[in-house]
Amino acid sequence: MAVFSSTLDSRFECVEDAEESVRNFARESGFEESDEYFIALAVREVLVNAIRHGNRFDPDKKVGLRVFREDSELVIEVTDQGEGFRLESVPDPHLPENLERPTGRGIAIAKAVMDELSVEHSPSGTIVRMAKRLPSG
Amino acid sequence: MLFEVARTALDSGITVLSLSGNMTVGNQLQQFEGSVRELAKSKQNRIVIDVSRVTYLDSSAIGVLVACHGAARDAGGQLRLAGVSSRVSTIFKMTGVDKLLTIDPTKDDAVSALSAGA
Repeated sequence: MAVFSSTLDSRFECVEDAEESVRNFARESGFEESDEYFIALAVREVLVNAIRHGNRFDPDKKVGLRVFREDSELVIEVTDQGEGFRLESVPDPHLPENLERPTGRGIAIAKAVMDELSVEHSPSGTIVRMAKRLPSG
Repeated sequence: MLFEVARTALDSGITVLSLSGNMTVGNQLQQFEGSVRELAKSKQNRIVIDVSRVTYLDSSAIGVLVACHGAARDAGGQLRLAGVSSRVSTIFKMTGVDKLLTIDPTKDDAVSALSAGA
């Protein structure tokens, strides 16, 4: 099974290379360029959240990235060492009262791009798991 | 990767900021927001941001555009976006900001609308 995995420092500077790796993996998995673009964006958003809100830029904490194909899906897992969050607690940026919030749109983008997004908690941290159906044919 | 900002002050008092490249999280976004806030405070509060050459932007960039929109409005002016690509438009819709930001097809359209006091 083809797997891409990487461990990132909790710095925004690390996001671009990871994003590019996911984009390449998506291309190799048969996605069209437009899908690659948005999948890369979804991963960027979750990585930035892991660095900012999960690990809070702590240089001693790492962000894990794992990408693989399983059954008929592209699966992307982002792991951080933070306290975690509940998906249902993330404010909906579409609501009128949230339209002008400076932050809080990353998860909305990731959810819109991917077919599935879930959050799991473990003693070692938080895993955001995303999946998108592979192109048919 | 950094994005570039070209600033043009029109005789009408409208400022056009033409952006190009990738707008993603980082210090450059904060600097851009600061410069727009300064513009708004200095009474140059009719602003067009031309994003026709922006190829990629993330939620942090959207947050900055929203903040710039609010700064211009709070200063009694207006900020209009122009030249939003299909992909950037899709990202705006994913986050709902298409309902907040004022968007024109082209820079000239945005300038005309501001000149007319729209």
